[in-house]
Amino acid sequence: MRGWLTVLKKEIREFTRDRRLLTSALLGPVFLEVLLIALFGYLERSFSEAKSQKILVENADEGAAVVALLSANPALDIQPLPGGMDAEQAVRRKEARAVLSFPKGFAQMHEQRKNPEFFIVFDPSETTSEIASRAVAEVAEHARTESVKQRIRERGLDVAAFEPFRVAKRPIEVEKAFGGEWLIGFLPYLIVIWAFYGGFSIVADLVAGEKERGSLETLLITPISRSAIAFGKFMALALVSFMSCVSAISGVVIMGVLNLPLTQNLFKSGFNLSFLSFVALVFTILPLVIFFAGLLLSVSTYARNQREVQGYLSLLSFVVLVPAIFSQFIGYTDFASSRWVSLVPVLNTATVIREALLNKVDVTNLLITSGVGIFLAAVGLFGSIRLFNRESVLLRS
Amino acid sequence: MIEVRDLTKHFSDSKRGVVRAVDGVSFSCRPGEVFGLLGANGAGKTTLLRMLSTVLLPTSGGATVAGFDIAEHPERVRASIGFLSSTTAVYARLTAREMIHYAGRLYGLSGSELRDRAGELIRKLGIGDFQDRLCDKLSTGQKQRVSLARTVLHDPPVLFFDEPTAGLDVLASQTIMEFIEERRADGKTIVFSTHIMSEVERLCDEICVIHNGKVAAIGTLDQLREASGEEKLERVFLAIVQTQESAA
Repeated sequence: MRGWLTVLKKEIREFTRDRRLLTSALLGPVFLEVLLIALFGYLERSFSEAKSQKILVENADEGAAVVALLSANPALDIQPLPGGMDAEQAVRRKEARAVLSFPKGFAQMHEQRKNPEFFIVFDPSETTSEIASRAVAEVAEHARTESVKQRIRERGLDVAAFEPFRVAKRPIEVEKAFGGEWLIGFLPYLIVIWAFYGGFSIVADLVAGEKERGSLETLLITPISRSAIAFGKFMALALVSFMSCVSAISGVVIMGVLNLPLTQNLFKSGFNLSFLSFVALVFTILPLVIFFAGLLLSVSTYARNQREVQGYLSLLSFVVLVPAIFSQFIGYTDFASSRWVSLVPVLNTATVIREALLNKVDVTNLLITSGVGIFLAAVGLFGSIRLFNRESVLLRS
Repeated sequence: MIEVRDLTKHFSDSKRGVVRAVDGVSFSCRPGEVFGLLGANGAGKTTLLRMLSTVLLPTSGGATVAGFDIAEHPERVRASIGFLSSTTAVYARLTAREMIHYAGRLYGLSGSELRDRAGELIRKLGIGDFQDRLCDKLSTGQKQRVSLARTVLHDPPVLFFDEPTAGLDVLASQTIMEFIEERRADGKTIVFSTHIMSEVERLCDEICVIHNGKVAAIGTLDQLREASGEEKLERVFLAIVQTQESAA
């Protein structure tokens, strides 16, 4: 394998002079990550702020007593519905995310304690309207319960006698996670994606490009073995893919350290990564990077030209993207704890990364995932070298 | 220095079936001699040179280059040859000097040996003025000079030139022709493949006419003239090719 280091050094020298590579594989991930986190921070804050939003009231006079109770809660900004508009129109025209509608006679029935009903009018197709309706219902339920208790007390009765049981939440003690829920759902996906797409910017040029330019034959005529040439190129590819992952993670770290007001909701717990989690990240990301490098190099070796590489990669992207996308939502399913997930490439890595960020690494999952990753990495590496040793590497040009 | 024995290469093609790109070619070539491979495009010259440089494996037959068998010691063969073709490219994002040094390292040169040898060639081939310029910014002639330096940097005893002047202007072609003549004077064994008759007349001590993968004729220019009964090389070539086609 003498000479692979010479090939690797030359490839790295060329990479450092390739603006396209520097932009897309090294600066791109960190920049995109910063941008996405800022966007997510903004969205997260918007959803939080959705609790203190404008709620209009139709027939406010009828519901004066209830409105007074609800208005006491600062989460709601309750205002009367402007004249000439009904509740449904107001929601449809987005005058408010939800409207409280009190029917005629509500006040009288309420005073007579005849259990009257009012409505929360909202748009079920709008997430913000749905959230607002839930917020209003929650506040209204609390006000209703307090009214019931008040009435029980007015009759000189013990409130506890009318409560068959009480419920309270008791969260278990867990390790602090690395960032918020959004971040933990999204980061594994991004890391996996950059491990794959990081090499995209150079892979076409690496072998297919050399075929096209006519420099591959010159390289094959040198005394170093084809395996050494392939290994040098493979290492270059793996290095760029790994640097893309590091760049993507750097973006998260930068935003975490800056802790900007916009993104504070995403980093409530700060950076708490245990040693085991760190080990899990390394032992799952590295084999994945090696596997992807082998896969990409095989494509570049097989293809006739750079254009053909792009065609094959478009197809290959789907194979990688589907499990990667699913990994974002696996936390909301029962599959997250299923053992078979450890056997599915890409999905298993993303799942272990997620566990690592949550500081809840399942050692069995980690071992299986690393084993699968190392096996695939070996297949990718030897497959690409084997392909490079075939005559067709030069003839398919 | 080069012994070729019944060298054959077949390719399987889905449309054309088995293609005999090189079919039982034999010849020998001595140091201090330019051996010309003359043939039309697709005659099998490049495939033959690729087998001799161990990039392709022969289907049958064999050859020794610089005393090494191409099948048994391919790495030693590659260490003993320099190869230049018209399609040989340089790396766009390396400077001329870096390109030459990279080639040297691939051939096992390092340290002062590499620096001295590269420096000498940079001087000889007039690369000094643009040695630190990226290859991407060089003219075709300048790139070809860098390729020449890369080809002989490790001082190989055997040199293969596969249509090295194709696509070059007169001045750049002249540089290459003179370079080959100098290497012949240095005692190198040179195989020169072309379809340009004037280059053959100027350079080749012995000529092998290849047609449809087979040796149609072999000998000095005078011997070929005598055998074909023609004077001009172009007519000599056509007569040999027609004779072979008639025989087939």
